[in-house]
Formats: sequence, C-alpha cells, structure tokens
Amino acid sequence: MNAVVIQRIIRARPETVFSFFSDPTRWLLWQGVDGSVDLRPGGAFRVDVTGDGWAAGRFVEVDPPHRLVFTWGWEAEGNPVRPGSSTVEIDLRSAPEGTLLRLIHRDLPPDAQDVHGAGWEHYLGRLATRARGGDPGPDPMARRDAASGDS
Amino acid sequence: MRVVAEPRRREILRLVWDAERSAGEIAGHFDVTFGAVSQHLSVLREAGLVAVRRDGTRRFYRADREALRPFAPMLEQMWSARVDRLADLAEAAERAAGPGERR
Repeated sequence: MNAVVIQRIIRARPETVFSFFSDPTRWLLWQGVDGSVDLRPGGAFRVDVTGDGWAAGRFVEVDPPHRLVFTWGWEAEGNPVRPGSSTVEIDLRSAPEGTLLRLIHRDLPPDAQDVHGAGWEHYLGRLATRARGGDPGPDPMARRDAASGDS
Repeated sequence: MRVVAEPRRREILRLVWDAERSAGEIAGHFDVTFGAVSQHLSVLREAGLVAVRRDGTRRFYRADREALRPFAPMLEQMWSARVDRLADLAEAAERAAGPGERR
C-alpha cells in the first residue's frame, strides 16, 4: 500500500484534538508559521510550514470530532507532491488514555513517503503536546528567521 | 550540473556520500519543509546520482559515486571550502587575540 500510516495516543479528548485543525490560529500552534484555513468540505487551507514552503489543499470530509480528510501538496515549482495529488485522512477515536489518532497519507510518490512520514511524526508530536495543554516551543524544522510569521 | 549545484542537494549528497541513510534521517538534517526534502530526493534519484534500496516500507539512499565522478572534485571543493572558512576564522581569531610568536 502506497501510504504513510501513523498512529498515536494523545492525552486529550477528540474534541480538543480536532479543535487544532479548526482555524489558522489553532493550526499554527503546532504546524506552520503562516496560513489560512477554511474548515468546511471544499474549503481550502494553505500553510507555510517552515517559512520557506507552502503546503496547500482542500478539505474533503469534515466530521468533527472524529474524522477529517483533506488533500495535500506543496506549491513549490517542480515539487513531486502537487497540491491535490495526495490525501490525508485523520481519524480520532476515544480511548481510555484520551484519543487514538490515526493519520493515513495516501498517493505520495515513492521518494516522498518516508520523508512525509517523518514530517507527520514530528508535527503530530507537537500537536499532542498542544492538545494536552503544553507548549512544544519553536519548531526546530522552521527557519530561524521565520519564527514569528512574516507577510 | 544544476542538479548538483543546489546547496541543499549538495548537503544531501554529503550525508549519503559515505553512508546509506534513510529518507527520514536525511529529512531530520534540514530546516526546510518535508516537501522540499522529498523534492530534492526525487531530483537526485531521477538524475541517477543516488541509489535507493528498499527495505520493507523504508527507503535508503546512497550516493552513486560512479555517476558522481565528474562532479566529485567540485563537490569535495565545496565541502572543504567550509572547513577552510572555519580554519580562516580560527586563524583570524588567533591573530586578533594578540601577537603570539610567529613561525
């Protein structure tokens, strides 16, 4: 199967975890230095993930607080993962410890799979910290000179 | 040539010059998006400058030194230029620190 699959327990309710996708202010708490998020089916999002690269997509399914599906790609010219070319599914289930989050990223080209897996591991870790009320601090993957979000 | 000249691709080549590394490991070395790292890896692979080995679902990359042979002097020069710069800085700092004995 050509997909990245990541599962993770987060010590917070699904409602809380889901809320971190709901608007740009919440999203940027765990991923990105700038962005816009229009959370509704067909709505678009754009996130400048590290200060030098915009990811963009559209929401396909929005079913709070249990399921979110969106397309995903990178706007940079020549990037093999074009906007609209891959799909991210996020399922959130109540678990005794809080929430079991499962992320599946489908339709990535071969060279992009492991790298996206590592990227999502990193950002879901930051999301988990936020969801349980913590502060993951500045993103070490973000450019030092873009930490506070320009433009 | 353009493939090799891009600074981050040069860095990736340096990482995989002597050792095979997983894509995730390579991604961890850069402060660019995971999208950008994916892009650089596919450019290098499509140019035939890195070899890829699959192990289960993971992919490991290694420089194809044979394919890179024409670029090796340039790459080594660029990589060592950094070391030279460090040496220059260190020597300048030493000189500034005071007139020690000179050879």
